[in-house]
Amino acid sequence: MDMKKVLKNIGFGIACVGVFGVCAAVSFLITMNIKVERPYKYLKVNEDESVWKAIYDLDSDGKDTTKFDLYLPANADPNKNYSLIFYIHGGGFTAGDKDDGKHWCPYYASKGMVAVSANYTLSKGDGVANVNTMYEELTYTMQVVKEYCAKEGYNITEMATTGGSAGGCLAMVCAYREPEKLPIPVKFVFEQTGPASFEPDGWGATEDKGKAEFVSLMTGRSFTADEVGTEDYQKAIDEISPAALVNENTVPTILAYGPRDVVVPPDIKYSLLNNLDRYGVVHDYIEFPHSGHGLLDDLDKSEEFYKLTDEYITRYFDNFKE
Amino acid sequence: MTKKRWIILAAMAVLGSVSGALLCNALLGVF
Repeated sequence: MDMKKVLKNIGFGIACVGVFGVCAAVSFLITMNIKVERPYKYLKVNEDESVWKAIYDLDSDGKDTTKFDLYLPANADPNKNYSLIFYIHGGGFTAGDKDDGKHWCPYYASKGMVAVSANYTLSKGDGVANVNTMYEELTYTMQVVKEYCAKEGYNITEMATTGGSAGGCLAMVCAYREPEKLPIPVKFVFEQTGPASFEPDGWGATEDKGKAEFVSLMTGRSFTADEVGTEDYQKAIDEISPAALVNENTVPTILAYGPRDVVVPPDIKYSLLNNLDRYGVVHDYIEFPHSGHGLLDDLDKSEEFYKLTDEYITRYFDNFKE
Repeated sequence: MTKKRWIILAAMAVLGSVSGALLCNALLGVF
């Protein structure tokens, strides 16, 4: 075999690998796009600009990390009261962006509600930004939204919090923790795959050192291994755990989880469901039996989730009661 | 390029597409 032929064969081999790689990458991206977008087909939006509008990158407390996007019914009616859907994006508390709200918020704005997708300062793994600071920032943004909308002629009188994953958790923490202190009365929550508890045992931490580090990271408080199990340590966990925040006054909640989830341990949700039962809180749990964290493999359940959300709107929003 | 090589390239394209879709399904199934 002469050198020219060898080079030709090598070239062909590289071409084969290249074609395989490019086709695999393109196919991966197309499949991902189809799968991720598919559940949102139930949130059909009237694209007519006379129905709703969006205003992006509004300031909350002046930080670049806490901006929010506002989705509004097109024409403000100063004689009308408006309901707010407050959407919080996911991303493991360390990533994600308010841009995710583009899937959910236009739907609610097109139905006559004000919708917000809010950013919060993400954790860098050092505990400086943590669930407590995220809670403070998001509840502050609620106040800013209320004031901004009032100036624009949208008088907001009630809200529902919502989100997925970390956003689902924060939606519950915001609604459950001190609802009486929120600038807008919260009427219900609908969330998907939000961590229900930060008890370190549920997250695989077995040794006290690991538990203390985990709780310090999530709460922003500093705990040592010796403090594990103390009253202060438990209180810090409870303050950021939706399951522990549930009481007889907790607002109605729609929850969705997938048993194949490998991001948020699926068993954690039971502490939340048990407490919702225990305190007689109205709630609907929708299990996505074939899905993992993204809830992407049960379209019938996606449809059920969004239909139920529509039902909650007419049941619990005073402005939409039938 | 010979006809045989074109067929191999086409087969690699099909295999790549199927692999990409399967990998995506597997990852998104749990994630």
